[in-house]
Amino acid sequence: MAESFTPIVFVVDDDPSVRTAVKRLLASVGLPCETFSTAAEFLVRSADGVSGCLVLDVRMPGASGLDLQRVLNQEGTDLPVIFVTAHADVPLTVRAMKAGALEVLTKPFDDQALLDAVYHALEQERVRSHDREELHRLRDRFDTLTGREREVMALVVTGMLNKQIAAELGTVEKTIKVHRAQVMHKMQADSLAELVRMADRLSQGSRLL
Amino acid sequence: MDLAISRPAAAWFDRGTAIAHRRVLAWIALLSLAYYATAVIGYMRLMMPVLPTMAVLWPPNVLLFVAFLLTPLRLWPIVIFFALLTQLAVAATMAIPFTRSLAMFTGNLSQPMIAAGLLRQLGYREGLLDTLRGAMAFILVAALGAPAIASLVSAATLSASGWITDAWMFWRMRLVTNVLSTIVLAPPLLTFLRWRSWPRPLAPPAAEFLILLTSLTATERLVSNVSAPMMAAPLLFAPLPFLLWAAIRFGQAGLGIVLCFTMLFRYFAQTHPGQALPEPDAIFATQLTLIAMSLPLIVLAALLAERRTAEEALRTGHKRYGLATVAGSVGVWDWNLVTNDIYVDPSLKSLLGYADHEIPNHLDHWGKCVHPDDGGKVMAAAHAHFEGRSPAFEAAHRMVHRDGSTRWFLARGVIVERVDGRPVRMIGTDTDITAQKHAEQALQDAKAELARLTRLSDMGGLTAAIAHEVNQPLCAIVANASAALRWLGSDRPDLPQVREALTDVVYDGKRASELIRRTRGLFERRALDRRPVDVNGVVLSALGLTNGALDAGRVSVKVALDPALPTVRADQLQLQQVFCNLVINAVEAMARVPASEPVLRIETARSDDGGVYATVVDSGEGFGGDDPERVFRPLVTTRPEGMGIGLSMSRIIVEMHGGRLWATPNAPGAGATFHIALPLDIHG
Repeated sequence: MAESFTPIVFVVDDDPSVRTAVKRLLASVGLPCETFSTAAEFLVRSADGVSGCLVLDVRMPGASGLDLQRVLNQEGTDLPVIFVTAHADVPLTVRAMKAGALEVLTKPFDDQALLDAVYHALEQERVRSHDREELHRLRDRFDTLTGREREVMALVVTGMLNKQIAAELGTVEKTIKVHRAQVMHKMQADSLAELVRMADRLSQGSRLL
Repeated sequence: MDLAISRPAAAWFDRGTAIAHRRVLAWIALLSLAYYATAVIGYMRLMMPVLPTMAVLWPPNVLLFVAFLLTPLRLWPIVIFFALLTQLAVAATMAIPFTRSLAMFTGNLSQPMIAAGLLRQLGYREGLLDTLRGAMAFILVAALGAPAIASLVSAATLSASGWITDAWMFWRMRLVTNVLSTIVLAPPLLTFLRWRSWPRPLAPPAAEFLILLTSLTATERLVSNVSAPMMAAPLLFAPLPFLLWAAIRFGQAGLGIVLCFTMLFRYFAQTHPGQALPEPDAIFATQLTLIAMSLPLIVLAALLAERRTAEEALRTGHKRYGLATVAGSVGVWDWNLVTNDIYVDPSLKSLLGYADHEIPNHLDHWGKCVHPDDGGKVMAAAHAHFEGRSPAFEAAHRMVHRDGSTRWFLARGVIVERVDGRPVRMIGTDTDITAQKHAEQALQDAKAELARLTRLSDMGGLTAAIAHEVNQPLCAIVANASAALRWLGSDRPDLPQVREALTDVVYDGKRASELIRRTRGLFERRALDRRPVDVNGVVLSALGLTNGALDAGRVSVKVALDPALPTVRADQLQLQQVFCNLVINAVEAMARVPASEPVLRIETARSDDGGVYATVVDSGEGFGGDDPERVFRPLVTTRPEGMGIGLSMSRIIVEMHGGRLWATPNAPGAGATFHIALPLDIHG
């Protein structure tokens, strides 16, 4: 997965004028941008893995913006989505927001509104990207643990004493003590509290990865 | 006419039984009283020594004649009964022997019964003397015929009874007396008995009548003083001017009264106290002279009455016609089909802003006022009537007013004269129906407007479609302009970037304006301009207009048009728009299937209900399993450009024409077929 954060604003709109204009607007503030005229085109591009945010026209020939959003969600590509539409009505906005859209802008939109939304999206993406990287590191460390060490770690983070863990796993307290030190070392955890937090992240992040 | 005039008398008798009974009693009482009085006076004053049974005037017979003429037949026995009673009373008063009185009564009764019975049979009632025919019948039947017969009966009876010796003399005397009595008394009686229905012009000016009577009296006094025997004969005619005056100015009644006065003057002049009794021959001569003078005068008075009635009817008719003309904006025309001379009511010309003399009465001139587009239609309708294909000529058409405006007229006419089966004269009317037509037009406009609004609200999304389309370029404009501003605002403005952005702003501005121009046509508030339209022609013109797109798409076009297609009433431009939309839609649908050989087929045919059925078949991508109805919804578009309202607008147009537009898929992968059905006569 991407190791460094290189955000790109992806613009999907069927109107060539709008595509060019939005690209130009983003370029004026130094934001890199890629444009696509259909949802299908973008799906080809996103298969390689993307980072950044998506400016998506709702109403397009073929698959609509909402269709694309659904497909991306299914694929687990969690790009922040900013919808733009020439005719926003309430049901459409509700649907888009429920599906996780960051913003719904009505054409013709204010340039600052779009830029704010894009910055917001990129910031969100940056944070998420950071989280993802940390999780990767934890997962790498976790992967170095042996099976016994993982069992010990799972019980340690529940707050059990070494004696209890030994009884649980059918061994002696001393062995557990060694395993525990090994877990703390491999996970680079300075305290029990930190190990608990790491375990928490791992169990949450297993869904994300 | 007789019926109309006799109505008051008939009503007088026939209205409700209680009233009728009382009226009959009053009538009988009045009659009896008059009978009695006149009979007694007749016996007392006018009895002659020479012929003791003969009076100069004998009113009772005239009274009975008038009574019988006005009384329904079923009441005659009552009249006879009371007349007999009265006669007996008279006989008793005058000490006349009963049997003799009865014999005289029989003769006297037969006269009015014959006269009145016959006249009633002929249909005459109290209006008898108003017409020439009636007056002639009165003279022949009542004044001459009946007295002649009745006198014969009386003469025979009395002679057989031995009361008189000279039957011929008696017959002659009785006849003349009764003729004169009838002529003198019947007209005024008949007139006064229906005083309520007197026509106004006949109401006599009293002053003039007094002058007439005074002049008559003075003349008669003067004449009576002339004793030269040679002058006797000419002087008999002295009252003629007064009788003529009365007949002309006061009709039958006036004539009768003046005759009556003349008679009395003559009689009193001849029976002057102290002188010998007048010679019977002198009285006879007077009677004959008066009869001879009055018979033509009665005919004259009848003629005048008839003329006056006719004039009155004409005047009333003319007044009604005038009122109708003004109120209904109707005018009459009379067309000589041989010479094409046409009398045109001046009121018709004035409806078009012309004075009577400004349009000569000839078809060449009047025809110029007919709207050029309608002339053929009017003549076609006229010829249809000439050739017997229509029972009457009738055509609604436009006329051109002097000020250039158009007025609607309804012309109606019928042939009134034919020579050898060929029509030579037609009379008819023109009615100004402009207001009606305007109301119809307004109603139609309102309907069209309602239909337009209904369709718009039906497809609410249409406005959204337009907002969508127009917002696209606006969005680009705003974004480009914002970008340009940012470029300019930076420390080192990137002018080439700014120029590029502004160029796009101009482009998109033009694009937005073009979009608005295109969509405005869809919402123009105008009624359908319906004319007979040849759908084949519309198809060909639509193909001509879309030629560029067809060529660009390398579409081969196959057309199968039914040459016997009926014309439909439709808006040619809108219909053309529908076919253009369908062709463009097909071309684009086929362009998205690059491998195929694009083929467009358009066919027209007569539909089962007599209308027109057309199909537009393409070999494009079809509907891909979707509901074909989906494409008619606004905003549903399968093509990258365009608004997705072309097909929905087309459907609206077709439906406004009362027709249907629908789509069906061809065999899978073989494109789509669009169907249009247009009814022959469209009531949108």
